[in-house]
Amino acid sequence: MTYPLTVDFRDGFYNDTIVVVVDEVEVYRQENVTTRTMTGLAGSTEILLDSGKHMLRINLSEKEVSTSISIDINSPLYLGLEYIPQKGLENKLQGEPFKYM
Amino acid sequence: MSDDFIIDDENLDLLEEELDEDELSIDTVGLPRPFPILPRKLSASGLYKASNRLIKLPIKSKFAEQSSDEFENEIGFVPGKKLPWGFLKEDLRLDVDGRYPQMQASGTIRTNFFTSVDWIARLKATRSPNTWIGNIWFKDGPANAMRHTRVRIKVKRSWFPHQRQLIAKFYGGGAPTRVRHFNFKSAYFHPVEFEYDRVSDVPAADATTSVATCAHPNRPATIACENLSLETVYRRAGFNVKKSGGDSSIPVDDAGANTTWSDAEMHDAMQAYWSRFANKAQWSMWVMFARQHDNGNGLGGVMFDDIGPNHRQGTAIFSDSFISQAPAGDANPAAWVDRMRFWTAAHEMGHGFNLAHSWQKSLGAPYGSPWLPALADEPEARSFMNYPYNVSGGETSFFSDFEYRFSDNELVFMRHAPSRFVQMGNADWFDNHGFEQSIPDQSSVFNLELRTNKANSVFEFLEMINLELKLTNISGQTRLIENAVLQEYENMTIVIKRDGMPARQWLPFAHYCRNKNMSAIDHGQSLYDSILLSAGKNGWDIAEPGNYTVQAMMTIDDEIIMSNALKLRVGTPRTDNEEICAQDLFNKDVGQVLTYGGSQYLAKANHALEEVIVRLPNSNAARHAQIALALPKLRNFKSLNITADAPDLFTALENKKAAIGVTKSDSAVKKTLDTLLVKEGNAAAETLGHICYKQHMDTYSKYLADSDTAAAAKTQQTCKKTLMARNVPEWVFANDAYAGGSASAKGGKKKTEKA
Ligand SMILES: [Zn+2]
Repeated sequence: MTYPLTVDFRDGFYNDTIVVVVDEVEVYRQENVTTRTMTGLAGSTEILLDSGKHMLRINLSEKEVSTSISIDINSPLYLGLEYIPQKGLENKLQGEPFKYM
Repeated sequence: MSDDFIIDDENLDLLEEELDEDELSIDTVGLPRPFPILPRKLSASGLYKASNRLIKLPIKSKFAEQSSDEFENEIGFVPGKKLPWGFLKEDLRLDVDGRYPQMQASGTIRTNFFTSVDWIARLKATRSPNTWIGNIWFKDGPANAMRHTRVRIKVKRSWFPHQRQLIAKFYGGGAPTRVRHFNFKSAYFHPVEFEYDRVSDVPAADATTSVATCAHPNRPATIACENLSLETVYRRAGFNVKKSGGDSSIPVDDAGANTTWSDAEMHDAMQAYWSRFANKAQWSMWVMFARQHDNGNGLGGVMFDDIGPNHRQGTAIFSDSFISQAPAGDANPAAWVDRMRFWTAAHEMGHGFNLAHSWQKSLGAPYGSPWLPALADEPEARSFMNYPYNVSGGETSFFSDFEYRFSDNELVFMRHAPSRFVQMGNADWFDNHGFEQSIPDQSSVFNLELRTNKANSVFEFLEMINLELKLTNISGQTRLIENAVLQEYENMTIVIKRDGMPARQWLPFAHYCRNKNMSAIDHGQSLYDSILLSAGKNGWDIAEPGNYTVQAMMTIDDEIIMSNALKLRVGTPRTDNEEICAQDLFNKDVGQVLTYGGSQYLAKANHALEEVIVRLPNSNAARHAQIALALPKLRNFKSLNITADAPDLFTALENKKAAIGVTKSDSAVKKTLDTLLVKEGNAAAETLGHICYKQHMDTYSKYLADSDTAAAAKTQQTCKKTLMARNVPEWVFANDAYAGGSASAKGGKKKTEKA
């Protein structure tokens, strides 16, 4: 059984190259990702994962920042990532889509 | 922006003691008799405009020898020459009572063309009635402008708006004290108008523009129960809201086959359906009610307009999104949806006023810049600009405490920040360092329009820019005017401002002395002319890639006429050849050659243009260069032989250090001009502008007529066909000498008909 993991890149991105690695396999790479300040969203991607535990790693090449997140997926999940200077990449995992206005 | 954020409230009382009450005396209020029954206290807040009344200070005052005139010397002006018409307009916004008083006063002082100073003071009531005093904590304008650090304000209240008055005294900072008298103009701080357009697949009931504030049980216990409109929300924020009156329907076909909207599609729809659309700053906003964005259900609305030269003019609300889906188990799902749609509309419109989200208030580079350096985020604010589900306790907590308003900091920004930061279409989204465009009092006699005849006024790098001027009589009656008024730069100032750079005054290479022939111009008729804007006596004013704003001001019979602020964009170099050519092209001599036509004695300038022709054969710059080099060769070219000690042609002309030589005409250029002006006429008209193209075609026809009248007629017919295809009216060609036009049809008025 597979479930979608939607990853939203939210506040704090600017011309970033974002790489998402799941269980040591690169599944997403996007250059020049910049937050649109009028919504607080920079971009989004959906990754299909087998149910169960996975290890995600998100790298921001230019900022030389990365974070690892352990996920146990048994239903559609939504991961919000935000870059905060001095803090790095912060994440929020929830069961419903993020909303923007 | 000044760094003078000096707040020392503890000194205010002391300062108040120092001021003599007589210095700000206002006559007793002339209340009507019998005195009406007062429903509520008369409010003092609102917009005031300075009168020209000079305030006489009492002889005994230590400030008696100082007057407002001295202040003008403290304000900088546009580099170049001092403008000949020092005039001063001044607004003051007082915010001490009424809805959500912020205890602030702010003002804008405009001393001349492009120079204005904005200030804001935090106020405190004094023991004297109707009197406030405060430190000026924000200043924005030329360095050293407005050294005053404090202001004292006294108002005269009245039931009759025309009797409401205000006196402001500016002092401190070592500057001469200045006292100014103001008349009440409006209870609002700024005007604004909204237009609501709905896409055809959105039911009218889903385009929510009002809400019943007590419909949903989760609300503040104290909130007034009312049917609240978006207009009222913004009136309470301090704006004199009007509807544009053009609310209309947008065909869903404009969203493309997928029926959802991209930002670009919405921007296109805004241009097509917004009755007020213009590429300019204006207090006007377009609100689009659509079904869904390309991003899907998760986007409830967006201020999509960071596209093109004028941002923040348009917003959209998406009814088929999460804002129409109440949480499971909500106590009143229909009221939840109504409130969320209304909230989203007010939120997106807030972005149009350049309000950031509550958690982004301090966000600066590289995204933009906060309008104040120390502005704090407000992550828990119960404001239209916060995301309800982002606060502690989530959306339920948010709405239990939400009073349908903006935060105090947001109100200070909307009411008191320099208006260019706030006004739609002015400063870029998230950029508070824009450029003032609005000039309050326009002439009611003449209208001066600047234009380029290029779509969006976007120019290639190196492309020469011909600016067209159109002066229209809007007085309602016939006026006498000099035929050459648009060529007499003594009465006209043109200023060019590149974004982020100081303004420069465009100076013509030479002033002409012309016979003052006058013509009668009927109401609605216009005079036209064209100038090479790229270069002037100051050198190349428009060369580097970037965004520019151009504005002109002229005086006719003591009437001051401000033009529109025309936005231009110069593209970036795309090839090495462009960069190589730029090194020799941006030279004053080249500017002269382009202005007057090729000179056989400015060899270096000719060479620079020839290099453009060779290296950039298909560019618009090459088209300008070829025409400038070819046209003078049509005649037995009288050229100026410049003596060795004259540094350039202009100096030679001024010092008469030139002798006239004669060179034979070169009929071989006919082939070049046939290609450039006749075969490729549309491209030439596009880059030269219609006026300049017509002038060149007339010159060429005249040359041809000497030997071949049929060819001359054909050339003028081509000119007419080319320009009429570009929507130039037929009367323009009425005086064409060779094409069969009737020379007498509009005798002497070929430049003045309605267009
Ligand atoms: Zn927003």
